[in-house]
Parts: sequence; C-alpha cells; structure tokens
Amino acid sequence: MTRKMNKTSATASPQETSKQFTWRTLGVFWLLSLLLLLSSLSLPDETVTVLDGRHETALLTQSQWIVPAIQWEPIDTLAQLPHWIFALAGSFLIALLGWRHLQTFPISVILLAIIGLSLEMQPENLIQGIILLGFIYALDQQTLPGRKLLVLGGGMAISILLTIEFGYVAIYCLLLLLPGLFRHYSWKLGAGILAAGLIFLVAGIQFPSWLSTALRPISWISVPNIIDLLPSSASLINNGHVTLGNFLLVLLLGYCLWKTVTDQESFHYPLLLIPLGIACGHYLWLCAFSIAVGIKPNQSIIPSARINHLVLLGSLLFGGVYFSVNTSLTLGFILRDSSSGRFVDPARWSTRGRVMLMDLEQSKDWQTQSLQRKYTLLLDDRWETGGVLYRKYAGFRRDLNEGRADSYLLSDDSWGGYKRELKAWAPSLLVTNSNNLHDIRRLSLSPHWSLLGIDSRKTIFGYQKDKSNRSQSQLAYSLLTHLEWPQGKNGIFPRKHFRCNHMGRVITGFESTVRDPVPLCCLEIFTTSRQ
Amino acid sequence: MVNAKGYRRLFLALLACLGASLLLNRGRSREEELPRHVVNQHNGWAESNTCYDCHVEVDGFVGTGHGETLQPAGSEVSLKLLRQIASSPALQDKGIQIEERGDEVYAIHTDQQGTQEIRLDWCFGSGLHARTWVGTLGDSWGATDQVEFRWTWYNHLDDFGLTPGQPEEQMPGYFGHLGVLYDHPKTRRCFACHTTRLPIDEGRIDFSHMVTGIQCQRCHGPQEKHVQSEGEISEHSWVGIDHVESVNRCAQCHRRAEELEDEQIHPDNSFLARFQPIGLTNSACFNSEKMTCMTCHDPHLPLAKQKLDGIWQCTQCHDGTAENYGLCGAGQLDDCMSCHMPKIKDETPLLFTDHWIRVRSDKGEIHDKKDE
Repeated sequence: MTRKMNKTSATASPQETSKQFTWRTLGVFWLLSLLLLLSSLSLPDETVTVLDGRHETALLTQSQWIVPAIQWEPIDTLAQLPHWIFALAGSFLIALLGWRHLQTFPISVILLAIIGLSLEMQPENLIQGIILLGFIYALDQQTLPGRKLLVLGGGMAISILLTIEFGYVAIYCLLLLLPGLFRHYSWKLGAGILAAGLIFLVAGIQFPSWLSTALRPISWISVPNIIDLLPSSASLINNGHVTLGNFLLVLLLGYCLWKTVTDQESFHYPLLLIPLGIACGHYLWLCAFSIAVGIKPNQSIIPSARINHLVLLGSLLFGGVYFSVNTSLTLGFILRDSSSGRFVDPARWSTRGRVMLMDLEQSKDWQTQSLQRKYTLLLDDRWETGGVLYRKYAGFRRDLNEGRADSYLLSDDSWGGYKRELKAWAPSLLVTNSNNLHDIRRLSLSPHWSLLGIDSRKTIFGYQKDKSNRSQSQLAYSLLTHLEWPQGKNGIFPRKHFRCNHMGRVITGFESTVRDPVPLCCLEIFTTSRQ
Repeated sequence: MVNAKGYRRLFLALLACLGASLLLNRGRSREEELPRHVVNQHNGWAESNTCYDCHVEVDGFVGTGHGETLQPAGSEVSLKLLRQIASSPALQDKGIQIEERGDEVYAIHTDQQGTQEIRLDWCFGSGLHARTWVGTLGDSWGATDQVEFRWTWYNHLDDFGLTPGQPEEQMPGYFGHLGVLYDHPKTRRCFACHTTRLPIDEGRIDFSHMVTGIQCQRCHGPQEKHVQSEGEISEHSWVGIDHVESVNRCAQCHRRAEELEDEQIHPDNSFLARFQPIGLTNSACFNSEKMTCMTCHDPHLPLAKQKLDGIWQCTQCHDGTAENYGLCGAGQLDDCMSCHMPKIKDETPLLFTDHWIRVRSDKGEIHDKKDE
C-alpha cells in the first residue's frame, strides 16, 4: 500500500491533523474490537470469569494453586463480570495495542491483528493482556538495567497475584529482558538474578502447586490425552478446525517474525514463543498479543489519512456484519428486555453433587459462586495438577460415550468399563457439549443417565440413582415430551414466553395452542451453535 | 527494502518455528491413544491356526465350548437346529418358520396382522447348554445393532424355548414376535465375548475380519511377534498375576460380581449359577488365595476331557492334613459336587453347576444325619 502524507487543511497543522487521525483511529480500533467481542456466543448480561477463581476438584487430593488476589474480597467480587464490561475493557486493551503500532505497522496489518485478537480473546486473557501491556509501557519508561529489573520484578509479582499464567509471563519477560541485561552485566545484576532464582526455588518447595502452575507453559506436553479433554490445547498443525481468528493470529505472528528478522540487527527473543503458540492452541492468543505488544520495528510508517479511512470504514463494516447476528440480543439488553433468554442454570435446580465434564473447556462455566456452592467438578482444566488423572478420565469418558459399562480387558492389561469409576467417583451430573450429537444420543440410551437440561452450549444428564436428580429429571421429561407432541388449548398451559432463534434459547415455558413445527425446529437449533 | 540476507534470516526463522512446533506436537501425540479392548486391537494378530503348528498339546481345543461359541447362522450345525423349528412342539403355535434364501437364513413370523422377518446372521453358543441366533443391522449412524431371536435351542431339552432374558410377553414393534432389538453397546458386548478378534470402526462391526470363537489369542493376546520370532519373543499377560486377577480375566465374559447389584448377590439366587466367577469369588475356598478357575479347569481341553467328576479338585486342598482343610463332615469321600456344587436350574431351561462352593442350606439334612 502506498503510504502518503496527510493532506492538511488550510487551518489545521500537519501535527494536529495527525493527532486527530490518531484519536479517530483509536476510536475505530476500539469500536471494531467491541463489535467483534460482543458478537461472541456469550450474552451481554451473562457473567464471565476474568480472574481464575477457586478450584476444587473431587478427584485430586492435593490443593491447586489459587491466585492470591482472590482471597481479597473486593477482588473476588470482580472475578466475574458481565460480558459487556469484559467486552468494553478487552476492546480497549486491543485498541491500545493497535494504537501502539500505528506508527510502525501498516493499518491493514493492525486491523487484521485486531480482528484476530478480538475473535479469539477469552475472558481470562483480559488480566493477562493488561499485565503484559502495562509491563511493556512501564519498561519503555526505563533505560537503566537496574530499573528494568525492578519493573520485571514488579510485573512478575503482579502476574503471580492475579493470574495462573504467570509462568508464561515470566518466560516472556525473561526472553524480553535478559539478553539485553546480559550485555550490561554487572555483579548487582547477577546477584539480583540469583536472588530471584533462589526465591523461585524456595517458593516452589514450600508451595508445590505453585511450582506446577508456573510450569504450565511446558507441562502440557507431557499430559496424556490432553487434546481429547481440552480441544483448545490442540496444535494448529493438525487441528482440522482452524478458525478465522486463529488464522489471523498466525499471520500476525508471521508478520512480527518478518518485521524483526528483516528489519532489525538484534533478535527479538520473545519470538521464540511462537512454537508454543502454534503447538498449543491454548497459548496462541497470549503468544500473539505478547509478541505484538513487545515488538519495536525500526522503520516507522506515517499513517495516511485518505486511503486508510477506507480501510477503517471497511473494517467497521466487517465488524458490523459480524455483530449483526447479535443485534437483537444487544438491543434487548440495552432496552432491559426481561424476557431475554438464558442458558440452563443448574444452580437453580434441586440437584447437587459431583459434576463430570466431558469437555474440560467448560470448567470455567462452573466457577460461579452459586454453582460452586452446590457442585464440585471431578476434574477441571488445570492440567498441571489434574494431568495425572487425565488418561484415566479420558478412558472413563470414552467408556461413557461408547456405553461400555461392564469391565473389559484393555490391551495394556488394565481394565475398562465405567461402572467401577461410576461407583468410585460418583458423579451426579454429566455435562457434554451440545454439538456432540453422537455422545448425546448414546448417553440418552444409557440406563444410567437421564436428561436434565439442554441449551445451545451444554447438555446435562443426571445419574439416575441419585435421588436429588429426580425432580429435575421429571421436569425435563415432561417438557421434552410436550415439545415432541405439543397439544393443548388456550389458558390450560402456563403462559410463559417461548423464544427460539439461531442462538438457541433454553425453553422456560411455552405458549402454544396450535401444533406447529417451531418446537421441533427449536430442538434442532438447540443442538447447533455458531462455531 | 529487504535484502537477501534478511530473506534468508526470515526463511531460517520460519523453518525453526515450524520445526519446533512439530517437535512439540510430536512429543505429546505418542501418549494420546488410549488402550483398546483386546479384541478391538488393530495390529499384532497372528493367523489363528498357526498356534497348532507348535503347540500340539492344544489340538483338542477345537472341540471346546470356547472354540465353538460362535458360528455363522448358515453353518451346518446351525441350520440343522433351525430346521427343527418346523417340527418343534414348543413352537407349534408361534407362527415361526425358517427360510433359506441362498446363503442367507431368515426367520419369519406370520399371523393375522401380517408378516415380519429378520435375517439370522450368527449362532451364539457352543451347544453344550444352548444356542441362540441373532440378526445384525445398522442404525442411523452406521453402528451395528442386533435382533436377538426370541427362541433358543436348549441342549438338555433338545427343543426350543424362550431365550434367556427375553420377556414372556413379546415386545411391541416390528421385531416383537421375532425377538428383541438391542443397540450397539449391547451388540458389541455380545460379540466381544464370543470372538477372538472384533474389528469395530465407528460402531460398525467388520464381520469380514472378525475371528469367531474364543481362540488362543483371545486369552493370550495378539501373538504376531511370538510367531514371527518363532517363539523367541514370548509376552504372556497371565504371568505374575494374582488369583483375583486370574479369575477376573475369565469373569470379563463369565461375569464379575461388581456387574450385578449388591442385593442380587446372595446364596439363594439361582440366577447366579450361570455366572461362575461370582459364585467362586464368594466362596470360602477362594479366600485361600490359591484358587482360580484353573484350579479345576483346563480351558485348553473340552469339558468332557477335563475329568470333572471326582474329588481330585477338592483334595488338592482338602486333604485332611490341616484343620481348615478337613474332609467331608457327612462322610462322603467320593462325591463333593452333589452337595457343594450341584447343578442348578433357574427360570430358564439352563442347568449350570453352582460355583458358590458352600454347605448348602438345602443339603443340611445330610450333615444332620451324619451327626446322628
């Protein structure tokens, strides 16, 4: 793209025009990112978890590392936020990244990066991104190696307090700083590094779970069957479902690599994290964001107002089209529409007990306080502690999916069959992804499980022998039976509003006096969701 | 402008990134595959008849119940029995007839409401007790389901009767008069206990590569390496296992106690006689930690050749030398089985030896007479 200087008006100076353009561009970046974040599957008023909360799993005897900040009541209340607040904050974070590179990246690259980051951003990435961005900005202010080391220590301390991915932050910071610091090596620096290493070692011995959490960016390699249970950890190389966001993030990484290798004399060491992002999809966003925020290309690009306006408008159009599918939801939220749908909320059921997740990605959905009061997960997505059981868990999951209740001999001379685990682990609820129609069908035919609830994201089965599941099981049965064979007249059935659209709503009631295909369509829609 | 040096550096950097990613990816892919059911393994199988080339001591295995526990419905043995349906006193008024269409066998039911038919594909059972037929069909997902024929041939009746487990009143639906439709998990379990090798792909059983009957490799595992190395490589999964594990190996088909409800396991439940490991593991004899199925049985020989009449099995332990291993308190010195392991009949016409070895409550009077 041909870069052109800004054309100035008769009254405004080039600097003022450039400044206006910069602020307008920041606004566009923010709006684009906001539109994309609001176009996700989460509803605007739905609660999302931004801070890694308390985890207790039934199968692990050792306790997991919990971010210390969660112990403090005010922070704990902020651990879960409405999705729209997360979207506002996350979009601003991403916009700042784009704004940071306005002078060094072509506008098209920035926009593609914003799109990729916005599409793939998860709620837990917010805190991680803020820490990394804050760290980079703080570092930019410092020139002395000692000061930089202090910033490094401060950044590490904050990340340990606020996120479980402090291991990644540590590796990133070390890769960013140490090569430069070693060029200006002094005994003070050496002592500082030695002291930090000792502190790390002592902390690891004192808190083994802390050490295992610190090693998360590495330990995933050795966890068996992690892809079965955590599909997000799959590599992009052999993942058949590469999304647009993933693709754009890889392009961003490629661009950063190109910029560094071709422009600079010294190597930007955080680029060594690119294999991690590609080999483990869980780290792709973090990798792309951290590398993009830390890179400092030599050449500056003067943003050209005229041509780039078109590109910015085009990106907003793209964002608007992406967001358009959620327009009614967002409008409903803004207008305080009380009949807006919700997902199935097991916290409101009479059930309680242990929960088996067929897809451990859904662990975060069970971190709300209301759910944690009633339910305990068998295992969650904390592979650094639960990874030792992942193989057995995956085998149990496979046996459930295939309906293999009774014992059978496996090729490694161990025993399969889910009955023994069912007795030992005693799950009350079994939660599967609603996209997984094959598993839903098989579990529906199982003599051990009965359907309790279904929405576009998850399908919940209850163990039939668990008495606490009975009332919900009866409710679900009567509801689904009526859906399949709707009949009745005005005034006989509860007059609750029944919603159904492409997003898939749980049925809270029905108002139907005429047999029509809407309930049947709704069942089909419930089992599909936008990828 | 980017010079050649820059492009070279870029190329090397991209190559390094890709290589590192592949290395990380490969490092974990080896651990991903879960172990399979022994019968579902893809590889490592030797040809079934190669065992006999060297292991001549198992020549007689072919005639065992294990070896003949599954055969095609169109086999000579199976057809001979099916043809008796027409003249079976038990099925006179059931409206069932068998029709052979080329290589296929069909069971047909006719009544006033119409005609139903199923193709019979397989004949389960060695015939020592009974034989039951099933027809296989695919479900909407391509997985293999089965219809279990309603009528079973019983050896000691030499006639047909209701298949064990099927309801007295026929099930509703098309197959009701002909049998019960079972879904894939049940189908897989049935075939897994009557085959040595059972290839399954996404729920569909590959019958063309299935190895029928319980052959050597069903218990000893795939022995391709053993055959190819002419015996140099010898991997025995039975070596070093304890008596509980030994019984559990047999019990994966002959049933384990944990597969029943606790309330079903009591001495007066005649249904348990069919599942020998359940009775055995509840026996006082089993607590000695020496007893396994192989204490009395040699699975390589037909039952008739195992010399199971007699007391040699019992006197291996009950030789009168130790206090706990006394001989019969009722003075029976040539027959333990009649009292301690009699044949039991449950609701079905099947007769099974009760492996719950104990002083039975219905035989108590024999001991009382002795005391007198």
